[in-house]
Amino acid sequence: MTLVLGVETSCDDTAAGVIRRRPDGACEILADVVWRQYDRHAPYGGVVPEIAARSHVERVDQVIVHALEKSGHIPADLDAVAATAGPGLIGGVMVGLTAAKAIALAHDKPLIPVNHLEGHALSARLTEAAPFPYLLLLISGGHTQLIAVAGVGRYRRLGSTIDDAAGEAFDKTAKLLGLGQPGGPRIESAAVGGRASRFRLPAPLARREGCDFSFSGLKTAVRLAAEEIGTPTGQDVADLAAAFQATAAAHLAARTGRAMDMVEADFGADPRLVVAGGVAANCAIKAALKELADRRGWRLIVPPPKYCTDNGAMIAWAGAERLAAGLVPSLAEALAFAPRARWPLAPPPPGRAHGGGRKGPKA
Amino acid sequence: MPALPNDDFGAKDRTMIVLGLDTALKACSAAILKDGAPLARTSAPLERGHAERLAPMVAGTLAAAGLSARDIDRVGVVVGPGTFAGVRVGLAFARGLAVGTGIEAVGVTSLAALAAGIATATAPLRAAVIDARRGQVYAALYDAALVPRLEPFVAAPEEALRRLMDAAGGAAVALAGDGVAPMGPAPKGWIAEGGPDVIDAMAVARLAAGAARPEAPPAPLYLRPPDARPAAAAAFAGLLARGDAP
Repeated sequence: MTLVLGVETSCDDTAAGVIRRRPDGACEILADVVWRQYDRHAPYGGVVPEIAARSHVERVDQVIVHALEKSGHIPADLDAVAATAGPGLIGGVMVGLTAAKAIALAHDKPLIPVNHLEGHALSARLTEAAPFPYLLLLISGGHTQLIAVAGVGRYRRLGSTIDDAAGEAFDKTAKLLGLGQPGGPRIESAAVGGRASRFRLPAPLARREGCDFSFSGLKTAVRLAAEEIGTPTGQDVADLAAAFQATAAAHLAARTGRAMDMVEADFGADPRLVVAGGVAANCAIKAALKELADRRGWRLIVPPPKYCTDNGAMIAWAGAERLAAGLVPSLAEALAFAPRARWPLAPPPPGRAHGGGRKGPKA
Repeated sequence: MPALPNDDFGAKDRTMIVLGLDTALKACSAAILKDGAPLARTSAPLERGHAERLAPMVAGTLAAAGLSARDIDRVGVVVGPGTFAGVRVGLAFARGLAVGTGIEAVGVTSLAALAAGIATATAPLRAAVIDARRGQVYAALYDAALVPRLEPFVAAPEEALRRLMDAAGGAAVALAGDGVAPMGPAPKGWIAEGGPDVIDAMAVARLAAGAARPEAPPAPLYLRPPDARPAAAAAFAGLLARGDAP
């Protein structure tokens, strides 16, 4: 039995979780505490890094105390401490990682700096038996990637977005339709009364090989359609939201289908598709992926919504998996670990030239 | 390493071991004070990167003192004003240590820590002034017992000098900190180089040791609002900064 505390502060959620990993590899979530900063950022129309950093340092210790209390354990009981060390907003990552360093040092316990994307990549195994290998579709406000997961620490990136992340596209589209934030849930509820077929939005990257994603053209198409209407009524907005959501869902499913082609030969008789990240909570997207998985004979695994969005339990779990696999730095190395704004989980596929950015790949 | 039992554990006046930390300005420092006597001290000049230096430095300082982190009874930390990121690293560490071991974390301002480095005999009053960049300084005025006469504030250097003079009411002031020079020539009778530019973590430990039991965890003293504009311009800044994973 290994008892692990996980701390997550990479965006606008201050989170801590306590999990126990049983010798058979099963996970027991003892506590999962998230303090959402949403209200503090709302006036600015998006996450403000300095406000996020200030909020994390104000609460992270209390969130940790709350999680430990809920778990029924004291810090001395812990076998290890895990914390998100990147990628993310550096001011927040610094706060959570530093607090975790202090707790690990205080009890001479291993400290595991966790890649936030690895937290999402392994999150399906928090609540379900999801044996390796599996295909991971990671869709969140900051990331959109398809990754072949062969084991803990063994990731191969098959594709990723060349412009906006999926969640970012929902946020931007919600904003231009005047639906407010957070964009995902707002578009989803607006789309309920909408007719997707009224607008024919172009399918992104329809003739492009591989399984990269693109969302910025789709967002522009929605803007142009809205401008053509002039002053959209509630029904226009509902129809546009439905069309956007349906096209985004179809795009995600189409590219995931291509990734299935790439790995199917190696995945055996019971291939699995895992979807993680906040956008996985969207029902239309889940339905499109379910249809794809059923049609292809794959098993679809989607963690419960609270483990799709940022949380401390998944970071604790990634730490526990690393500990079990022997992939843990010495305490001295971990105490000196520098928080990282950018930290790709896996290198981009060979031949990928676009989307690097001045400081290299973002994630 | 198992906790080293205090040899007088349980005695009426048992020892008090205080860890002092500073990451607020251009250095990273840790010091350990035992019953008012310095045990170990480490400091390195550092503009940025406190998040990777502080924890190993604390571990090294504890080892030099022959102590484990669980021997610490109280942690004192500089809460600012200073660099926002530096202040947060110090506070996150101190508060993490506090919740990890059940000890108290006590906040000390950078200005009080600097003023503590001024010899008491030099003048009846002491002021610390720190270069806050963007054409401003952080400043505060204290009496000989380090009781604030003027609480920490941020202002243009000439405005800061005027406020310090008003509050001093004609008494001589000894100055410390790298914000003294930007204020221009010191008034007659004042001592411009009364103390250090660099915070001594041992002074932080001493101030924390003498402080009353805190009612709440220490919080940052920024003295400046976050750089953020409502709505449009700032929209999506966070998501973009986080990266869309190309």
